[in-house]
Amino acid sequence: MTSFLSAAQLRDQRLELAGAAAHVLNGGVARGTALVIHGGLGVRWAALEALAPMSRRVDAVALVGFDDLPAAALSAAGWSLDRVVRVVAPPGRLLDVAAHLAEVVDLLVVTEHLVDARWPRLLARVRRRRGVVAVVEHTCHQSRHQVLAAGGSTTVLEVVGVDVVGSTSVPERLRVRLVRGTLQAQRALHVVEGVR
Amino acid sequence: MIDCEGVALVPPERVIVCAVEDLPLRAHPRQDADVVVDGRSQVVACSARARAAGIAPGAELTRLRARLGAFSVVERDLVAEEHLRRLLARNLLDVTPAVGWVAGRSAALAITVRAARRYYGDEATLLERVRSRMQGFDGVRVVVADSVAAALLGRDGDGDHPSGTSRQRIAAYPLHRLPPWLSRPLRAVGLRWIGDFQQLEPAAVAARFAHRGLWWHRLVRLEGDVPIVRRLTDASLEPDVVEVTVEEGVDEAALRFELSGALGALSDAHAGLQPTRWRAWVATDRGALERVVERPPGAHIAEIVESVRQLERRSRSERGRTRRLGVDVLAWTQPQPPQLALDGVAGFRVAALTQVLRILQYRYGAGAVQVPRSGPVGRGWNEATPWVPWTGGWPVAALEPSAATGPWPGRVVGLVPTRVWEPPVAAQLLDEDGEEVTFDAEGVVRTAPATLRSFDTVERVREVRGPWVVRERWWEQRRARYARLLVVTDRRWCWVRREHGAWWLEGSYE
Repeated sequence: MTSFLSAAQLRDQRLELAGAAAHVLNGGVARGTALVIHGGLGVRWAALEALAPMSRRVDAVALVGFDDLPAAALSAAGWSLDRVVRVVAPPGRLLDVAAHLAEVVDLLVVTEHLVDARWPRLLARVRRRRGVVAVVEHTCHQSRHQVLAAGGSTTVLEVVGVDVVGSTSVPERLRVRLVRGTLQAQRALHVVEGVR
Repeated sequence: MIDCEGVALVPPERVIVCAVEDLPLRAHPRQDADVVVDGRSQVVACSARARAAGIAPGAELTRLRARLGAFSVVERDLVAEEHLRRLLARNLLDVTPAVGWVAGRSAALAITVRAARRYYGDEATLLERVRSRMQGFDGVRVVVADSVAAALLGRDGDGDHPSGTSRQRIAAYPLHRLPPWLSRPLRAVGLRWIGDFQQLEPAAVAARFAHRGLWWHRLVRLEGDVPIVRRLTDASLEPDVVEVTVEEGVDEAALRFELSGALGALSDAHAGLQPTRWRAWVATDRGALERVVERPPGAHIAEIVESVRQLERRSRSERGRTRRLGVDVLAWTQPQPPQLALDGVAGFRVAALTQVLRILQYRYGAGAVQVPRSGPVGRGWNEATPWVPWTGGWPVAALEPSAATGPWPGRVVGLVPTRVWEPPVAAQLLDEDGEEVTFDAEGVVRTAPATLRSFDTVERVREVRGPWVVRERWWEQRRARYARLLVVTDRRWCWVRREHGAWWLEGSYE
């Protein structure tokens, strides 16, 4: 689907991020796009911290595939909890759930398990709604990244390190270091082009 | 039928409603048409003769082949419909300026009586004037009632509703005038009239039909009404035409630039509005091509120009040189977020969201859709702010400040883990020799943990913090109930707990 908005209009429609993501993506993330946050330790916290301002600004946020995420963690990351909904469904039906929600929520947060061949269609729905879909990915997989790349309109953040901060033995804060990343499929393409 | 469910209702007001039955059929240039279908072969209007044969609006043409017989089927003509609508509106504007379109009904106009009465003294004179204006139109029903919904629920022969009597009048209407999803279950339990439905308790309606049923319940009890979405003016009824004459040898880019400029000027004149329906046309040496395009959320100028360009390209091969091309903008709308907008009606997005959440609850169980609530405060991470089943309403009520900072024995201070297993998952914490790590009676770890096994994966332990021993009812001299360790592996930081002689994985920072 072609966007008829000018570059200035698109810039105005960006949604702001927080934490390390705000430094990396200074302009925030544009509506109608996907934000992929991937890496190992700290990726989930990085995502929660980054999306906190969006949860306060938009009308509805949905979490799909986060059956083990405590609401207190959202609160600790600075989320506004009165517009958040979590949907718990059998693993095989999660993409259908996400497809339903993509039509009606402004921010859809999903896990890596939802990315399969139907991803471009899900992203098209998000784009039509002018929402944002965030993918939290613990383990990178090239075939999954090929699917993500096929959908287009994707911004990638990569976790490169995490520091656990605390004056006692118990963690009091996580400080995540992020960089603007690329999908593995794109990276492979760059390598091939470089060889040629 | 009223087809704008979910729209935020407004206080009812006395109105005169002019509704055109089967507008696509009456507006169509072919007088002998019996069935009008849209671009997806769905019946949008049909004559009384076709209706008697079992054909109804909303049916798919492919399923009606056996019944079509000698009926003439035509495709709907959006331009003709628009012309008829404008004609009706212009006639009513001659009577009073207090005219507007009814939400969700493209073929119903409403006049608020209170606004118009000052010009005519009493309601009867105004009604007489409106009826005389509508006399020349076939199939237009003019009725005065205490609300728009009450007027639309009526049929030919039901007559006007004297002031203050609409609720009693619609109580005598049969129940099948309500949508089938509502009327069928009600009839199954013995209700026959809308009056029976009016008398039901709202709580009973909510329990059986949720918010959709309550919406209709409020409507028939005249506690709310369908809104009138747009007031009309003479200027809003004038056709907006942009026309470009194509000179010999002019290139496509120049044409596009000229058309964009003209459309831009037209758009500026309608500040704040966007075209929602337009007719793109191209006149060539050998004839003309035209196409009506509809974009309910409102279209950008580039989209309109593109529609003309496609038409012009199609005409090149067969129809000779293009002489003129242009656009007639047939309808304007307030710019809306795409897909879920309903012509400026507030509350529709929230209604769509709640409807989707209810669908998900229906499919996967009431507990499938969860929202955070401040809960019974306890020591667990999930107890201070638990996820609870969503019970309707959006946004959900603001959370009360939690008292989780109280001195709950065993409550873990510090950052909440981003993953918490409920109930905890069985794990194995082993030392260098592969033996299970254990505590003594004082809560001191006997051997240093080396590996953590959980979910069929083995992680090397880099660091261990703790233990934190939790004793309950210490005065009974019982053993410690459980002890926690914070284990740092290569992949994560996680909380493990020793209880009932086994290790359990509670949560992790990921």
